[in-house]
Parts: sequence; structure tokens; C-alpha cells
Amino acid sequence: MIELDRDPRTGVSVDPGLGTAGAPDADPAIGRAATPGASSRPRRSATLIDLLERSADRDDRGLRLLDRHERERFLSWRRVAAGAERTGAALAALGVRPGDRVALVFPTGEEFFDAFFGALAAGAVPVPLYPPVRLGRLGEYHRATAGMLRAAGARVVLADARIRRLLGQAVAAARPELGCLTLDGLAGAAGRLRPREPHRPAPGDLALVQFSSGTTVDPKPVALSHRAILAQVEMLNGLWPERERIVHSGASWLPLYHDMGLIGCIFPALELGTDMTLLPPEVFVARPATWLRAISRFRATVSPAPNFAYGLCVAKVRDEELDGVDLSSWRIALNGAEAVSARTLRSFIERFRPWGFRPEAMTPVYGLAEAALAVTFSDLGRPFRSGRFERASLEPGEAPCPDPGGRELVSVGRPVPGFEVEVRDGDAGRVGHVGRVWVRGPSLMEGYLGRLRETARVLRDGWLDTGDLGFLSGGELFLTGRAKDLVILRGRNYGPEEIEAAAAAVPGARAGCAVAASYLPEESDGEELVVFVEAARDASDGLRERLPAAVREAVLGALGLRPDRVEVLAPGTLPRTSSGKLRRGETLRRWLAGELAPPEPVTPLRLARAMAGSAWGYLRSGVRSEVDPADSTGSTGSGRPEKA
Amino acid sequence: MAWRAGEPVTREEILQGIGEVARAHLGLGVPSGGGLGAGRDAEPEEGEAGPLRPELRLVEDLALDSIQRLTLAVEVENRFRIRLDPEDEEGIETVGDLAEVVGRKLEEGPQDD
Repeated sequence: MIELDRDPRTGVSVDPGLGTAGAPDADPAIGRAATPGASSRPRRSATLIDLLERSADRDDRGLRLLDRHERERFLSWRRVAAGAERTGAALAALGVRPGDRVALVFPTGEEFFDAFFGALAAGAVPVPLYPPVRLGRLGEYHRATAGMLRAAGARVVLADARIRRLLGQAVAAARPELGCLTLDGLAGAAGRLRPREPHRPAPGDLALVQFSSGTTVDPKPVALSHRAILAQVEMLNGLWPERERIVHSGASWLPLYHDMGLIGCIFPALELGTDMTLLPPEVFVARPATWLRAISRFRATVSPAPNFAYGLCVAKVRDEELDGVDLSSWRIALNGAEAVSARTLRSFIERFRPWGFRPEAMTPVYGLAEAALAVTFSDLGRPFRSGRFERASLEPGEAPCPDPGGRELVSVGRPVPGFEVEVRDGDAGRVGHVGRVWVRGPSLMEGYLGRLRETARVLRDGWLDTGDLGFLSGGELFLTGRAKDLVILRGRNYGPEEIEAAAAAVPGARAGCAVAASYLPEESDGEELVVFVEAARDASDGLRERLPAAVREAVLGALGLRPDRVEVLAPGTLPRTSSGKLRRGETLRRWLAGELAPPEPVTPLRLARAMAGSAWGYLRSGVRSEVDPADSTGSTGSGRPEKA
Repeated sequence: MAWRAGEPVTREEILQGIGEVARAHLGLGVPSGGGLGAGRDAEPEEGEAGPLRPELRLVEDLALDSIQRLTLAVEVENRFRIRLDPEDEEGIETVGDLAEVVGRKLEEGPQDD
């Protein structure tokens, strides 16, 4: 089935010994040497199993799980460890071997932790996947889940009982060897268990496979070693301020299949042996005030979320929901996982300051699944920084110029200890110019599981090509856009292919001729989704008129995403490579610049004009009227380029 | 209005409840009769919230995105004090489908955890 990548460089071998053999950097503390204060913290753990055992005697600290009525259920670290031992023994009895991937589909709750740490205790590699969306169409979910099960080479799937009944199609398509079980089912299948020591992984062994985006076309399983995760976790825990004085306490509603939820929240709490308050994501989304109330009630000091969550609080939380709320304990409000909007930061600060929110708590950060999580952090305890830059100077290769009337960008801060950030303009790095952001540090992934070619494309000589565009100014990173094809909305990544497939299948659209992209418009609260479709040559006027609405409906139905704009284009308008592949980044760039134009028909007139040297002017005359970002409806077809 | 599982509830009352949820939590204007302004641009209308017409489809007519659908599911659960499993939700396309599932869950008795 899945051909395992055995390249030692990508480290996905299941041989427990291989990862450490002669590795000079087996010390997970690598990269922390430069952290002031961090060196005083003794390094005690090399793997997630060590972390779990270290906190296994703590009855007084652990996870506080809040339900939809905000009722608290305490799960001590001791119980987490006991659950792991039980589930690990059952998995081993079922035939799960060290290095096997175990896919997990659970909502936030005790069972997730049993399954996650149980898989690790069996020596297996947990692969958390997202549960089905509510009231959604499941066709896309089944396909995406089957694709991820296959890409991860999952040997068994563990699922919540309510969800398992829905996974039939995905499981039938991916056929994991040991099937799909609930934890009860697993206990029954495993029979009587003998007490069993947990498997002892080596620091270089895989600890976790996470998907950076749920895509059916090309899911990329990010493979992380114990060493990488521990480096990230210890680095994060070295950053919390005044550790001696303030008891660290986290709160999060982030899903546990998300790197910021799992690596950013659960593991650091486990490593410190402190408390972590968890709210199910759906409870937050339906009632954002529950997040703020949880922070206040449990005096959380650190709580992260993507930009959209802060915007959602501003939009939906009402004063009467904040009775008695005091947000002054919240020292670090991390804002990452998607583009950070200055407007959102300001409106959140202004809205919640009367409830004790500290303006300096707002901390824009940057990271990605391929780096385990964080790459840069804004300086803590300082108001966020932003700058305005002349728009044209933010193109790749340019040197950004300050401009009071320009586009505002928020700094995502400096490299975290152990990490380096380099902006490369072409092959060379030119200081202060916009280019591709490359990063190097101790928590980079081993590679995309089983995908040598994709891995080689992004990992070079120990550096990771993030695919993001940006520049460094005063040692701080500013992001300007993306060179990679990825749609990021509400903190979640999507491959553009599914959106495009849904759009191009609409009657009147030209087959295979759609491009989906997201970008952060100026003065907006988050990235917006724009879908470009070429109309079929033979499409009637009626079909053409209906295209924007039909595309919107198709994308909404298939993915639950509402395109903010649909642009209908004349056939041949979308830029392509010489081999005919659509160029998404170029499409977006031209559109934003007002340069997205249909091809010129080759006519004698055109040739004559070209020869007369006026081809440029002619080309410009075919350009659609200027893009109006304020036109949020955007679907009227008014922006359609004229036929040349 | 609190709903008690096990008490008889009419379909009209369920539709009324769903309409109130949509109005309160999704910002959907729900005119008592006639069509429905959908999407996030729709202004909530003044006056009494009417029932949501059962034939309205969640995606095509109400244009609910995944976050709005999640909100609708969670708030309908809160309103009627029921719990919808993914399996219950499979195949729900219209407001009427949702009302039917809510009715069935109410008949099954208390499920509020």
C-alpha cells in the first residue's frame, strides 16, 4: 500500500534505533542555548513518553475539560498517564507495532488523550484527524479523510463512538489493516491485558503526524520526531514571563488536531506539570464568550487563537455575557496560524479593555506545521508593532518603503530561541527586501511522510522553505503574502484544488479553468476567499449571469466556505505555465494589480498594432475596470474583463 | 422558552424555535411570510420572528457556511436540550429535515448531558 520513506534524512523509518544512531544533536535542548533564563531549566525529557511519566504522579494538576454548559471535569495528569497505559497495552495486544500510524478522530475530550498517548505508549505514531463538520455535506469529508488515512498509511483508526458510525465510507476507501475501532471496541478486541511497560522511543523516532491542510488532492502528512516536538515545547516554556512569580496556566478552545492546540497547549502544560483548561471548539464558535469566561474563571495566563477568533469575539460577544469577567490574568494572547490584521487587534483591545484585557498581552506570532509550530514571537509584554508601507514596494524583490498612506502590516516578531529566519530574494538573500521566508531551527519536521520529492522541495540543507513571502525590518518579520498555493481561512488551511474543482464543475464554467486564492485585503479582519472562473465559450448569457451565484453555492455546499468574491473571466484569461498549469499566485497578483486581462485574439489588426509598437496600450485597453475592494458582494460580474 | 424532552411539541413550535435560533445567532432576518433574505448581508427584520419555512435549504437558500451551520446545530441543541449525533445530522438538507430530527430526538426523551 504505502511505500514507506526509509530515507534516514527524513527520519520516518520505524526502526527505533535509527533516529539516534550517531546523531550528534540527540540532545533536545539544542537551540535553547541562546535563550536567556531557559538554561536554568533542567532538561529532563527526551520524548513525549518521558514527559507523560514525569507528570504521572500529579493528582493535583491536569486538564480541565469544559463541556457545552461550561461545566468542569478535571482529568489529572495521573489519569492521563493511566489511560495511556491501558490503551497502549490494548493497541499492542491488537497487533499495533512500534512505528505504525494510528489515526485518531475524536472531539475534544478524555478519549482523545487516552487514544493519543495510548498510541505513543504502544510505540505507534498518532495521527489526529478532524471530526466531521456539523450539518455539513459529508461527501467531501469522506474523501478528505480517506485521503489522509492513505497518506499517513494508518494501520488502524480509533474514533469516538458517535463519529465512528460515519467513518464507514472513508475507512472502506482507505482500508486500514486493523480497521476502525472505538476505545470500547479496542478494549473488547484486545481481550485480557497484561501490564506492560510503555515502549521507549528514541528521540529521533516519529512522535506525531499532522496534516497542515485537509485536502483530498494532495494531503501532506507532516512527520515530527520526539526530538523536534520536545525542542519546540521546551522553547515555548522558556518564553513565559516571570515564571518564578506567576503560575503558568493555559486555556484553549483550539482543536486538538491543530498544531497550535496540541503542540502549543497540551504538551507545554504536560512538560511544566501545570493546568490546562480546554473548551470544545464548537462551543467557542457558537458562543465566543465562553472562551473569555474560561480565561477569567481559571485565571489563565496564556491563551492562543488565530486572528479570526479575536474578530469573532468582537462581532458576537455581548456585554451581558461578560458578567464578572476579568481578563487581567491573560498575559499572553497569542495570535497566529493565519494572517494577523491590525484592525482586528485594535478592535479587540478596545472592546475588551474595560474587562481588564491588557493591550500589551496581544502577541502576534508566526509558525507553521512543518516547523512543529512557532517560528517567530513578538516581544512579550509590549504593544504589538505595525508599519505602513508603499504598496508597490511590497512586491517580491522590492525594498519596502515606509508610507503613511500605504498598506499596514503587523510585525510577527523575532525568531524564537534556536530559530533563524532568512528572507531569500531569488537565490541570494538581500537584506531588507521582500522574498521567500526560509527558517532553520531544532523543531523542523523530518519531512512529509513517504514523500521524498515534496520533502526535497521544501527542506534544503537544514532550512525549510515556508512558501510565505515577507521581509525583515529591525530584526522583526513582516509577512506580505504567500508564494505557495494555499488558502488559509479562519486558521485552517485548505488546498485550493477542492475549491477549484467545485467551482469549475458549475454549468457555464469552463472545465478545469478555476483558481482559488485567499489574501488579506487592507483594513479587513481576515483573509478573504476569491474564486476566479473562466466562462465556457458556449455559455449562454443566462448561464454566464448565474455563474457567480452558482459558484458560490457550489463552494459553500462542498466545503462550507463562502467565497467573498467570484470573478468571472473570459476564456483564456487565467495565466498558465508553459506546460498549461494554472498559475495561482500570478492570477492573484495580476488581479490585485488590476492587470488580469483576457488574451488578445490574434488578428491582423493586432499584428499591425504590435508592429506599430502600440501593443502595450492595446493590451491595457482590455483590462477590467479597477478592482474595488470595498465591493464585498463582488459577484455581480461587473468586474468581468471586457472581451478584447 | 425552555423545552422539556418528553413533552409533546408540535412541528410548528419546532420550526418557530429554529427560526428564533437563526435570528438570534446567525443574524438571519426571518420574515414571518414570504421569502427570506439570506447570508450575512441580510439585515434582521424588526418585529416577531416567524418560523423558518421548512422547504428552505441550509446551503442553497440560507447560504450558511460551515461556521454558521455549526452554530445552528449547537444552538438548536441548546434550545431544545437535545444532542444531535453526526449520524442524526447526516442527510439534513432543509430546515424541515432539521425540524424532523429535532422532533425525533425530543420524543426519545432527555439527552441533555
